[in-house]
Amino acid sequence: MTLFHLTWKSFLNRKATLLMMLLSISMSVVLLLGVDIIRQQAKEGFSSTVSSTDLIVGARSGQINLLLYSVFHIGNATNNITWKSYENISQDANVKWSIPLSLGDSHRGFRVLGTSSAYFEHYRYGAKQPLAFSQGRGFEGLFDVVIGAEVAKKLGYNLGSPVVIAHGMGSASLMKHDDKPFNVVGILKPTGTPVDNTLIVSLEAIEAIHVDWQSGVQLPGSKVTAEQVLKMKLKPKQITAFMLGLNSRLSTFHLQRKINQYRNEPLMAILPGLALQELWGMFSFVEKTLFAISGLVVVSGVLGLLALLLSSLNERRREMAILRSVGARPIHILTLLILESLLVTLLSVLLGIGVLYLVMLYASPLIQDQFGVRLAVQGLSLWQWQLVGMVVAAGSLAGLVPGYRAYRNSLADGMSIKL
Amino acid sequence: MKKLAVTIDDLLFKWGDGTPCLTIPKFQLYHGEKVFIKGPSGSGKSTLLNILGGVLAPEHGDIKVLGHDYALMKMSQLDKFRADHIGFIFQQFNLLPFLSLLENVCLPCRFSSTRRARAIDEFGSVEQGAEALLKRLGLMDKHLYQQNAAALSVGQQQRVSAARAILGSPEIIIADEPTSALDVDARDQFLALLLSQCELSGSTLIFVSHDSALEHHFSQKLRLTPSSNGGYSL
Repeated sequence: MTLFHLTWKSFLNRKATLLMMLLSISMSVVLLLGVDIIRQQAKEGFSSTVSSTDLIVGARSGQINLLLYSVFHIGNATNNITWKSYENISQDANVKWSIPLSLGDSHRGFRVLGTSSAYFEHYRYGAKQPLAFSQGRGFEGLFDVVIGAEVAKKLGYNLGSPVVIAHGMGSASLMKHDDKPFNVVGILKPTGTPVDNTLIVSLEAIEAIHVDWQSGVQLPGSKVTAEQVLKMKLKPKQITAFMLGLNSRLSTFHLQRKINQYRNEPLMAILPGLALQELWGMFSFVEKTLFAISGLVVVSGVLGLLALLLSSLNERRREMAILRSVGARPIHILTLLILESLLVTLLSVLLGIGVLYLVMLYASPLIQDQFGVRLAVQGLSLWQWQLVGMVVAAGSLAGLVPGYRAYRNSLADGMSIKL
Repeated sequence: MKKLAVTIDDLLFKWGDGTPCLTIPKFQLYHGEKVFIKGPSGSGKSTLLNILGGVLAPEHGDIKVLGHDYALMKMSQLDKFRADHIGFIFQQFNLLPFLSLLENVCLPCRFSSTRRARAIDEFGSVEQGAEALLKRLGLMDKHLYQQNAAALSVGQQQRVSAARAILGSPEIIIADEPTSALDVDARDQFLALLLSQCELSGSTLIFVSHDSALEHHFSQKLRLTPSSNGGYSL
């Protein structure tokens, strides 16, 4: 029978209160690790929104603005860029592939993206994954539309569903391009990126629905029907932005400089990785706040343990006196209390990790369903283990205080305490 | 020639506030002797036991136990000395309620390697020694041994604590009112068992009580009496 055995038996003797403590600390561990895991995975998901793209080019504004509207489909471009500039730059010897992007229309709150078939061929997200179809195919006809997984799910669309595109963003009382309805020909697999919330049509289709429009309104009296438009030879005059893949990453900065100094039009080229980092940096206060809150929860848990251990000291004075009388030295008493708080925090941490993984296993499909964020169930990172280690260390240190008090008590009480 | 187990010379103990509590001009006890010290409550019995155990240090005076001068020993040495050579029995509530009978009896041998070695010497193992002593003290029911001490009657608890004090044959056993929670029959029976066990293990017994009805069991009797300085003296 060692000191640990003694601690364990004494622990079991007071299991009701200690179990509550254990639950409380383990919940704080769940929160601490949970916040960190979500933070880490959100960051990973965020920075993998677009990959393999070397440069994104748009009208001159700020790099975050350009990133937001071209990749996240948030906000609007300050200006469009001409088709001619796009053609010029994409024919540069360093360019391997290019994807034109034309934004500005919507369908029931979801963005409509006009692009070329290069989008399905070259666009990459996550770990350089290409887009894949769960049903159907890419667009071929003028009025074909491919929809993201989330669009299909939220609106209940299948292959063949008719889609009417509205001018501008928003979901109500927008002018609609209802004279030229589209047909769903393909549905993409979920990606966990803004692509899921996008409807994709060809650049020609964007041109077609605007052929009889000017300055954002349909010209009265000059209505062009869908049949007429099919016969027209449509060529885009302007687009919103474009993505470039280069032959060699070494030429990135060279080409970036060249685009930024483009003479015919004020253009800007950004490196998506850098822009993503800057954008994430803007959220870092949220990240830090969350972390601080979960840290405070742990502190309050440990303080609770401290309070509990201290308040139990009085009722345990007899226990300590008996131990002293059978030969336990003050150092044994101190060890006993530290072992106890170590035991409580260690069990709490184990329970907390267990609960966390159970929650992740059961909640990750739900979270993906509700928020489109994929929570990968993976092992704890080194940093997370360090967090766990800090909790255990703080818990054991909390045992030092009552341990010292008990040590002092046992010296003062001697062995003849009478209760 | 008999060897001295305890000698006290010219001892004065005061509480922190300066009130004199206990004076002992001279006290001697030989190995194997059994002494009854009678004192009313408040007469400093517990103080005396704590001084003998080395937990409290006197204002002045010499205490020698088994040839060790307490004044020359550090706190940690005293702790070890007490664990190795002194067994204690208290009034009541002196078992850990969450440990089994056997674990309670074995406790001192966990903290003292000297007592552990002696128990192994005598009985083969600490547990066997505990069982043998429990049997000698009249706790025959073997399946009681694994039960928690809280389940026992006060009389049974006192026998368990006696077994605990004796296991590992400490040279000195100090008993503080161990019979006050027992009725008369149980009291005499317990005392007889305790005395015979001390006889068997050759231990010196210092028995403190306010109850003079127990005096006749002892050959040597002392008394704590009020002294002129306001405290008590032996």
